[in-house]
Amino acid sequence: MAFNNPEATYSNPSPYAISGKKGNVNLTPESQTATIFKMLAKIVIYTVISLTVIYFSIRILTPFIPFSYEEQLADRFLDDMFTPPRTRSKEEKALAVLQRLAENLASHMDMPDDLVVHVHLSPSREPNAFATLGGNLIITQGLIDHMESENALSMVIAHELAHLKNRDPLTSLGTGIVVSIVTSVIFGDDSVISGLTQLSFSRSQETKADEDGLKAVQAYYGHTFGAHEFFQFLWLEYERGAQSDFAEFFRTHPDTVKRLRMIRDSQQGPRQEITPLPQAIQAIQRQLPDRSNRNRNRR
Amino acid sequence: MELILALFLSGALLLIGFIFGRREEKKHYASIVAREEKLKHILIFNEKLPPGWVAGQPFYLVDGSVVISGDRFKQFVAGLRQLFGGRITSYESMLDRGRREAILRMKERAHRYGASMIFNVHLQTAVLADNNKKGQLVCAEILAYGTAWAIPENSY
Repeated sequence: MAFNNPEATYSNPSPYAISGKKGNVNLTPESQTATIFKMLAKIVIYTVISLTVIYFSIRILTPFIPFSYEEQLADRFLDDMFTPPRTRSKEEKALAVLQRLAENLASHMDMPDDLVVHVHLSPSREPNAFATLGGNLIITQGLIDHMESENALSMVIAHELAHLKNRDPLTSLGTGIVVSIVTSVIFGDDSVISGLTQLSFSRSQETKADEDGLKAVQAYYGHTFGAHEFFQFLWLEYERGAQSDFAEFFRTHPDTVKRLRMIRDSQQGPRQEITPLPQAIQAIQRQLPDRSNRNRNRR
Repeated sequence: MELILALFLSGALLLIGFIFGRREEKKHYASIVAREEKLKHILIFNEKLPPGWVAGQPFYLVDGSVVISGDRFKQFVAGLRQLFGGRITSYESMLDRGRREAILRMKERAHRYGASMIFNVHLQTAVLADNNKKGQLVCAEILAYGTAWAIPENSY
């Protein structure tokens, strides 16, 4: 038996239907490299979007996290960070005064109800102050040494209290985790946990803390004269050639000029009496090499 | 640091997979097309029984099998695909080559018997990689088999 149509041929697979890659019905006609770049771009975009959403939702939602939870976190992270001064030492008296000053200032701020402020003194010579988890506020010996009036000290304390009020340490912990995850993925840096206790605040958080702090100082003293002293001193030192002592302060507290201008602008009317530092704090101040020099310049 | 090294290593493997895998695929397709042309006189059917008029002619079991493997690049593309869903095109071409190679080997076998038709042709696929093990390359065995009939030229 033969085919009825002598012209008809049969072969399978037909060379016309399937030839290599072109015209092959079993293959999706698309470029591998284009696809892979498209998919990688998709992944990057989705990751960036979701991380951004997480980042900003942390910043918006942290004020609603109860303070008791923050205290638990603080216990875990900052367990043995603070050592109380020896009993009946000069430091203990000064610390009590600082604690009272901080509480007085806090009463002029709109603090969360269950927030308890704990002031700590750090022996560090670098002038700095920072607020951290669990309502803890750390003031360095170096900062005390550079203070010339209670008003200037109050401004720094009020600024840090404002961070506590705005729940900035918790926000920074959350956003810090997100940022360190991103950096550890990109740069292969494994120090995810190590950087967490060193919280740094964003510019907007700093500006907000300045405003709130200044309001508290205004409410407490009735004026803001003297509040700028420390920042002005810092700025002069910086102008003179930044000393390494202050590098840390500038790193954590940018925009000194802006801050200075803000405080200056709030000083309206005739100059008011500036409150001297309490005796207990003066007692722990250490003589700075150029202190007498500075005092002479002021007079 | 270790992460950078690991990233660099997997990047290098991807590049090797991309360059060599692509070259291999191109060569394989060229060979497949050439051999398909050469063996197109052997007809294949999935019809179970041959027509009655071939009764009494000799017939043989013929098979062709191939084990084909993907490369790192194909696997990477497939892995990305599994995030979003859709056609895994990198495996499509790999399995297409596998199926056609298996049929060609079966046809070559039939050609040695002097057969000109293969009936009851089936294809079977077995995945050789363990899916539970991450990082293992995907490879598959494809088997084509059928009954080859040696029918004298002038009888059809």
